[in-house]
Formats: sequence, structure tokens, C-alpha cells
Amino acid sequence: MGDVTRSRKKVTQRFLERTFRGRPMGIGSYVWMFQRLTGLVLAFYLGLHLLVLGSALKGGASFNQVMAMLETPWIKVLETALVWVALFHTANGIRLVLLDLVPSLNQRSLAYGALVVTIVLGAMGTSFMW
Amino acid sequence: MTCYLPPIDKPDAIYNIQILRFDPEKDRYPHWESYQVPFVRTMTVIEALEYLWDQGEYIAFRSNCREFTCGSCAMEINGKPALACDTLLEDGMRIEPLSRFPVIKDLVVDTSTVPERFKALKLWPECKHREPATKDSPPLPAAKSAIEHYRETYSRCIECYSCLDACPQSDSDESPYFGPLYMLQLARVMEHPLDEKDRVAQAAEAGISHCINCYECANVCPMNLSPATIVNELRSKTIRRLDLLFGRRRKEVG
Ligand code: FES
Repeated sequence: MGDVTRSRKKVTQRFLERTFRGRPMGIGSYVWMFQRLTGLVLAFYLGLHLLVLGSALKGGASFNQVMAMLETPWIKVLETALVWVALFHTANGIRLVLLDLVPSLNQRSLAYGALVVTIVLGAMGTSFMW
Repeated sequence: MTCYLPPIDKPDAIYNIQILRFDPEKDRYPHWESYQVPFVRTMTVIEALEYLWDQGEYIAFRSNCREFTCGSCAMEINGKPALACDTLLEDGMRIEPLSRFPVIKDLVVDTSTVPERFKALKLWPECKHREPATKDSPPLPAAKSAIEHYRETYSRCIECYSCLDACPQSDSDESPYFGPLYMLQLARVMEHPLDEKDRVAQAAEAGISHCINCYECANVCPMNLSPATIVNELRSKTIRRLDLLFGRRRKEVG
């Protein structure tokens, strides 16, 4: 049998198919996808962070310039988004560690718990920042 | 004509369903075809396929018991692996074979690698030589929890391979993670009181650390088992074993 006959679906294809055909996946799959996406965002941010810091530390004038750039509202919106992303990644990461340590825990309630923690802490952070 | 079903005189509705057909003698690639099925109340997907067979549409599919016991009729229905005899027909359904395995014809897939892997994993109690049991030899010291687990979980698996199909980390036999079914079987033989083989190392070599905790196998299991919890339990044993820290690459598992 050649490989042409088997579809070997990737998770994105499965996600689209099942979500839009009335067979949604469990919450575990969705939070896992978010975990990956937020992980990518955080990795990207780490590089960006180092770049900005590096350019800010060149001298007094450039420091002031970078700080002025960081005060613009667009950057602030992105920073708020970053807080949410980091919070979700942390909360779900703690859920995964808990599941590894105590396998009999209920993953579904833990996932909802992680979402609730993200929303509460994210709302607090957002009101604090603005 | 085979006549599986009594003739349908007064259907409740006419449903359009789509089926992924593949004939190795004619086609190079699988293709979708749509069919019309008269729906009567409580009609399942298997019955729809049998109806089509009665009409001269010879669509290849597997089924035996029609009562969720044999596990041979698993297929992807609207993208979700499920037992065709356990799923009510809906309008616009898309029915395709399990996507993890190579297709032999239409909805029949080649699952012959699974028993081969079972053999390679040595899924039987492996122990040193023992005296054969006699009439007065004491009964085996099986823990009560093990008996419970066998009754509640391990013996109820019908090996329909839905969990293998749903697992995003194990989308073919070449992927590093074997899949939830094998982990369930490893846990089963691990709890046997006679077994002495190092099953935790076997699980590590079968790529158990690739599991991503999505619990999709538990989500699709037609018997409502939770292979994911068993995988998690096995993995929490592997992460406590320091000698497996660097040996997690997949070897010839056996
Ligand atoms: S026909 Fe036996 S499980 Fe569906």
C-alpha cells in the first residue's frame, strides 16, 4: 500500500474539520494548541526583548529614545497582550506539571481552572497597567 | 443483492452522506462520493452502509457485532474516529476510513501492524521459570486494585484503534510515539502479578514522553475508558527513573 491512500491528518486539519462539523475536540486539545502558540509568542518576545534592551543600553540619548518609543499606546496594547499570553502559558504549564505529578487529577477541571486564573489575573494586570 | 435490511417504505427523511471511496484497482487517489439514504428513526451509520450495499453500491467496510463489542467498525465520521454502529446517521455526514492506517479499499484499513507491535512489545507476563500450578498451590497474590483495574479498564478495551487515530502525536507507524493503545496494554501487563519485565523502560522507549496531555484518546474512546490517564500514570513512573533520562530515544522495543 502506498502512502497516497492514507490521509495522515495533521492536528490543524483535524481541528478545523471537527470544530466546524459538530464534533469538537476536548478542551485538552484546545489548551494544548494555545500552549504552543503562546510558547512561540514568548520565544519571539524574548529575542525582541534582548534586542530592545541592547539598543537602549548604548548611551543616554538612545535610552531616552527607546523609552519614549515604549510609551506609545500601541506598544502598551502589545504589552497587555503579552501579559495575557504569559499568564496563560504559566497557568497551563502548572496544570501540566500537576498532571505529571498526580496523574489521577481531573484534567478538564484543571484546564478550566487555568483559564479562570488567566482571566482573573489578566484582568487585574490590565487594570493595573492602564 | 444481499438484503441486510427490511425494505424502507416510509422514510422520515432523505439524507445526503459523503463517503471517501478508494478502489486500488481503479483509482490512484481516494475521492469523495455522495449518496442518498432514506433515514428512519434510530438508523446508524452501519445500517446506512448496509442499505447502500443492498442498493448495489458495494462499499467495503468492516463490521461484525453491530453492538459496540467487536471494535471492527471504527471509522472517521465527520473527522472524529467513532464506531459506525454506535453513531446515529445525520444529514451531510462525511465518512472516511481511519486516517492513521493505509487504506485497503474504501473504508477498510490495513491494521496488521498493530498485532505485530503487540508481539514485539511482549505483552504477556514474562517471568522466570515457575513450578506448574497444582490443585493445592495457593492462588496468585493479585492486588485488589489490580483486579479492579482489569475489570474496569483493561478488559473493556475493544481494540477499535480509535485512540490511535485520534492521537495527534502518533499519526502513523513511523512517528516516535507508538500511541495510547500500546500504553494501555503495557499498563495492563504491568499490573499482572506474574510479570517481571521492565515495562516502564519499554514505555519510555515507545516514546511515552511525546504525549502532550490533550486527552483526545479519552475523548473519542467508545467504551469511555481513559487511556490518557493511564499514559499519565505510566509517564509519572518514567520521569522518576533516572536511568531512563537519556535512554528515551526509540530503540527496537522488545
Ligand atoms: S460492528 Fe462491532 S463494534 Fe461496530
